[in-house]
Formats: sequence, structure tokens, C-alpha cells
Amino acid sequence: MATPCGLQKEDWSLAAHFFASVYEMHDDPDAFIAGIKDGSVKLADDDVFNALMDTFDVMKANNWMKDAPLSAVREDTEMYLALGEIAFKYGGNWDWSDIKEFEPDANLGMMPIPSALEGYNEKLVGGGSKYFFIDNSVSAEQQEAAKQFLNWLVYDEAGQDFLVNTCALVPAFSNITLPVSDPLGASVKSFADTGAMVGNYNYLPDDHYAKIGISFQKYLGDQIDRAGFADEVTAYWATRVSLQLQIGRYSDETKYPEL
Amino acid sequence: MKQNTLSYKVKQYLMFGGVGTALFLCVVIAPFLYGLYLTLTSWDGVSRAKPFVGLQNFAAAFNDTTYWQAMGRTLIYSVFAVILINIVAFALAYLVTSGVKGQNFFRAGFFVPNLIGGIVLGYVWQFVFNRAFVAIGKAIGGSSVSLLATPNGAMFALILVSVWQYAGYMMLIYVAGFMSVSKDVQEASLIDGCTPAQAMKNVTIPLMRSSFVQCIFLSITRCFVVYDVNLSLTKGEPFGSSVMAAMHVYNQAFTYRNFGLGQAEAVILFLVCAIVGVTQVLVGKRGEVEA
Repeated sequence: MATPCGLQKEDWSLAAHFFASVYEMHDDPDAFIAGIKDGSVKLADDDVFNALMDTFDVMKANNWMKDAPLSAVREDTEMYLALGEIAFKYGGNWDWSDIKEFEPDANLGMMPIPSALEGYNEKLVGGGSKYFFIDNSVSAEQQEAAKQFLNWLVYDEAGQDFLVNTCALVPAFSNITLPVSDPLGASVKSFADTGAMVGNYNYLPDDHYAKIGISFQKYLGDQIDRAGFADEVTAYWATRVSLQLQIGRYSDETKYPEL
Repeated sequence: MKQNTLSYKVKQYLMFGGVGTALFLCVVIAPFLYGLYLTLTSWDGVSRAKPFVGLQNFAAAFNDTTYWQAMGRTLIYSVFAVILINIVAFALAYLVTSGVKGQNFFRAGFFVPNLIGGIVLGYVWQFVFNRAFVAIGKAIGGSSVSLLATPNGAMFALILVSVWQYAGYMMLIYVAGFMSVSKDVQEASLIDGCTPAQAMKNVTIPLMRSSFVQCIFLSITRCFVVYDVNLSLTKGEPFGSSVMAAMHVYNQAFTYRNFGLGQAEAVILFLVCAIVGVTQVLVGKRGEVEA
């Protein structure tokens, strides 16, 4: 096939997912962002940025909608992937809920973003996308009830069935052994089980995906080049601070003992 | 029972208009006042704390260049849309009152787009632009770039969909206006030697002035605060070039978590819209004539 790749034009796919990998594939994303802010890191010269953007350029040049990438309809890209008309799509295991409508062969799975970065071609970017928090301002009874619910979700068979089968999630708990129902989720689980994952960076400001998404769309539409894109990202960070510095980050696991 | 005491009048009002007034107070006035209070805070929309910051949000709103760009875009969009909506609606109303066969069916038909509602309308037209026109373009060997993928194309698409949505509704108001002009006056002008065009321009249209005032007011206010069609048709894309004022306000308050700033921008938008609308109605009403 002449154009085997599929890219989405949506700002959340480009900025919240693909561009977030640029932060996540650094050993210390906080330091990287702080470096962009104070000028000690020049984004256009950064190895991770350039490696990932090189891969993006390859996908862009082989995009099935390369003549009009900003007109790409997400459902069409998923359909062509399901039918085997294209071979790769940038997305995630959430795409399965759309892809399964086209009844594809079960020969689909997740692969890491291939890049020139050492060691990252075997690791999938991912992590828990949603978190439960117990509000400690409510009564002790309600907190206890919340804990019981969470324990049910993780340890009780009915709760595990709900997570894995009804919600079609990849469980984040090592005690759950139910097989994941869809091929993309099963693929993610195989990476997670061997620890071959790059964690999500959850401390980007609220308007990051919208603002960087605009710049990334301009890049996808050939309105700016890579240097211009790097400049716009740097200009964005000049006026922002990552949430990690605002709310404090809990890396100490003893704060959250097993329920 | 005495019919001119205050208590009697109040009771009569409450009996007929009480429920409506109560709902209006709860759903429109109370949130508006609460919103005014929130413009004085730096609330982020979720946290329990609402720190008081005075008029800082208004200063930030005046410095927010993307907000004023969105306002400018909304202004351009409104001017084009209002003019086109009213021209198309007037033409349709003229056609539909000129006695053609099946004109009642056409009246209903032209009104249907307005019934569909903004979100569904946007998705239907998104399909037309992104898939139907692109497929036709590919088939005849033209470009496969959707109109919605270019900034000017996206604005054009928004104007087109708004005209399609509102022309039918305004047409009904113009139809009522046409019917309110008595045939005697029109016949008299034709007997006195007017051409039909002159009769239209000098007799019918001045007598329909109140219809024009109503329609222009409705279309201006609706176009100024457009959000549903904006969201479903373009979502502000490509690269944020079709974000209208209401969408910017929503994003500022709910997506970027600057609720106080977003609320201040909303208040400014309300003032602009109110001033424009009220001015237009006052100027229009002053010139109303009777036969």
C-alpha cells in the first residue's frame, strides 16, 4: 500500500498524546519543562523532540490523507485500519470501541512509537488515565464507605468483572487475572505485565492540549516548520507553570497504603 | 373587590406571571448575579477556595488578545450572517406570499432547518463538507481538501450554516409583515403610477419596518452568542481560527480552568451584545411609520 499511515487532526490526539510523549520520554519531565522555561534547554535541539518529530514526519509523509491532513475524519481512518487498507494509526487502545464496529480481523495490536531513541522502541507510553480520590473533608462514615467500594472494585469478583469486561478496561491492579477482552487492551497489558511502559506525565496545565494542539495542527498543515513549532511551544511555556509546582506531587508511596 | 389596589394587582400578576417570573429569576437572574460575584474571584471552577481578586479579571480580559480576536471574528461573522439571513428570508417571504402553488408547503419546508437545532445541524453539515463535498471533489478530479480545513473556508461554512438555520425562521416574521401591509395601499400606489419595484421600496418595506427591526434584532443577538453550531461544525478548528466569542469564553472558564476570567469575558460579551441590540431596536423603532 502506498500510504500505510493514519494520523488524526484532533488537537487532543496531537498535543495531549503525541506531544506529551516528548515530555514523558525524558527521565525527568519536570526538569525538562523547567529547562524550556528558563532557556537552558533549547527545544529545537533536543534529541527526544527531534527523534519523535522525525517519526511524525515519516507518518505525515505516508499519511493516507497526506494531501489534506487537516480534513481527516477519525472514523474513516479507523475504518481503513480495521479493513486493512492502512497498516498503522496513531492512537490508543480506546480506539477499539470504534474499530470493533468495522469487524476487523483480530490481528491488531499496540506498538510503541518507533523512533531513533535508544531503549524506547520496546516501551509503550501509557498509564492509569483516571484516578479515584477519597475526599477527606467528608464524614468518616462516608470515607469508610468509599474505601469499601474501592476494595470491592479491586478484590471482589463482581467488581473485577465490571472493570475488565463491562468497562473494557486494562486493569491497573496486579491481583486481577481476568483476560482483557479486546486485542488492543490485551496488547497494552502484555507491555504492562513486563514493566515495559513509559509513565504518563499528569502535570501539564489545563490549556496545554488546546494551545499546543493549535501549533501542532499548523505543523501538520505545513503552515509552520519544525523550528517555528519549537518556538511556539517555548513561548507557551514562558507564561505557564506545570501543575506539579502548584499543587505538590506525591511520589512517596507510604502516603497511600494498600486499602 | 376593589380592582385598583396594589395588593389586587400584585395578586393578579402572581397568578398569571408568577411561575414564569420565578423560573426566570432562578434560571437567568440568580446565576447572572452569582456570575458577577465570581468575576471578582480567581476561582478555577473546581476547588473549594474562591480567592477575592477585585477587578483583576477585567484587566486580564482587556489584555487577552485571543479574546478580542474572537470578538472581531464574531463581529465579521455576525455582519455577514445577519445581512445574508435577512436578504434570503425577505426573498423567501416574498416568494411564499406571492401566490405560487403549494406555498404553504414551502413555508413549512423552509422553516424545518430551524427546528433541527444547532448541534445536529452542525454535524449534518460537517458530514456534507467533510465527506460529501470531498468525495465529489475527488470524483471530478478536484482537490480533496475539505472547506472546513482552511480558516476562511471554516468561516464561510459557519455563515452558510447559520443562514440555512435562521432564514426560515425570519421568513415567517417577514411573511407576517407582508400580510400586515394592506392590499389597498399597494394597489393605490400602483394606480398612482409606481412600478412594482418602487411600490416595494417606498410603500411595502417602510410599512414592514417593525418586521425588519425584529428580525435584525433576533439575528444579531443570536449570531453574537453562537456556540452550538460553532462547536459541532468546526470546534474552533483549524488551528483555533474559527473560535467565536462564546466558545472562547467557554474554553476560558471550563477548559483552561480560569473561571473568574472566563466569567469576566462573558460579562463583557453580554454588555457588547446588549448595547448593540438595544441601540438597533431604539433606532429602528423611532422610524416606524403607519399607513
